[in-house]
Amino acid sequence: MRPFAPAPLPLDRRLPLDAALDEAFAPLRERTATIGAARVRAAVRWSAREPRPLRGLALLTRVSELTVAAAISAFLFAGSVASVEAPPALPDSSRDAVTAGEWTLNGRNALQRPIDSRATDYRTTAGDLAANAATARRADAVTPAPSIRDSEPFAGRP
Amino acid sequence: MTRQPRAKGESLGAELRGDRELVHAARAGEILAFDNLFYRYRDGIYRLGLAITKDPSAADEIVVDTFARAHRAIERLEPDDSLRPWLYRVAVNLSYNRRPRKGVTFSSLDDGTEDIPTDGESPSDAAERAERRRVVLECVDALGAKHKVVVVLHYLNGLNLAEIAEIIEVPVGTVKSRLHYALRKLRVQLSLHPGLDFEPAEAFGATEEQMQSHAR
Repeated sequence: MRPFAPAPLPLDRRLPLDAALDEAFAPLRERTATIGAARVRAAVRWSAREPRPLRGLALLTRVSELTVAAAISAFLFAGSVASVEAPPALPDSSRDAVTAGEWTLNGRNALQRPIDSRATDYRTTAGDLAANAATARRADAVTPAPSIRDSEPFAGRP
Repeated sequence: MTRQPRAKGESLGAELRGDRELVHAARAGEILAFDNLFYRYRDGIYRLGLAITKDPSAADEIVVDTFARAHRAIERLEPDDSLRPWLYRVAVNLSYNRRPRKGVTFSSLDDGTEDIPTDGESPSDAAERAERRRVVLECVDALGAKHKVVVVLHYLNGLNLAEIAEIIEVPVGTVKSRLHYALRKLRVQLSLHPGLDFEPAEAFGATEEQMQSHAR
C-alpha cells in the first residue's frame, strides 16, 4: 500500500472544484466544429462502389490483358530457344580433293577460310596426294579434240 | 440533462440506429450512414482536440483525421455498442502526437464571449467569472498529459470513469487515481489565488512533494 496514495476528496471540498471546472469548460462545451462530412470524404477519396456491369467488363479486360501477355511471353520464349540451336553446317569444300589441290597450287593467294574451318586440311599430305591423284585422273579422261579442217572455217565454234 | 439539437445532416431514420448498425451500413457502401456517425461525434472530438491543442484549426484537422482513419478501418471495426471509445482514443492520440505550429502559441481558449454579462449579471460579475475561468483553465493546462486528458474527458466531454478507462486503455482504478491526483493538484494550484475562495493546500494532509512522488 502506498503511504501517500491520494485519498478521495471530501464531498464538501470536491463540489466547489467540480463547479469551478464545469464553469470553466462551459464555453468550450458550446463550441461546435464547422467542418462537414464532405471534407472527410475528400480526405479519404470516398468513392461509390462500381456497379456490377462495370465489374464484369473489368474482368473481361483483365482476361484479355492476361491473354496478350501470355502470347507475348510464349513468343519471346520460343524465339530465345530457337536462337540457341546450331546453325546448319556449311558444305566443307576442303573434303573435295580437287578443290583442296587447287588451293594448294594457288599458294598464298588461295581463298582464305575461317581458322576454325576444316578447310585447313589442304595442308596435309593426304590432301596433296589426293589432289595429285585427281589431277592425274583428269588428264586421263581428256578426250582428243576433233580436228578442224581449214575448209570449214567456222566449224567447231559455238 | 438537456438534449442537444440535432446536428446538421443527421436524419431521423439514421438517428434511431445505433453505432453498430451505422458501421455495418457504412461498410455496405451507405454514405449517409458514415455521415451520421460523423455528425454524431464531430463536436465532441472537436472539443477534445481544442482542449488539448488550444488550436481551432488543429482541432478541425483532428476531426478530419479521426474520421478518415475510421473510414479506412471501417472494414474491421466491430463496435459492441458505441463507436465513441474508439474515435476518442484516436483523437487523443492525434492530439498529443500533433506538433504545435512554429511561432504560434494559443494561450487561451476564449472566443471573446465570456466577458459578456448574462441575464441579471453585472459587468463586474461577468469579468470576475471570466477571470476565474481563465485561472482554472491555466491550472488544467499545467497538469501533466495523462492527468489532463482524464480531467478533459470527464468534465468537458462528460464521460464516466469506465468510458475514460476504455479510451485511454488503463484500468478503471488507474483512471480514478489519476482523477483524484489531478483534482488535488488543481485545488492546490487554485488555493494560491485568493480571489477564488479555495482553502489552502495544507488542509489536505499530503504535501506537494508527497503528491509528486506518488505521481512518479
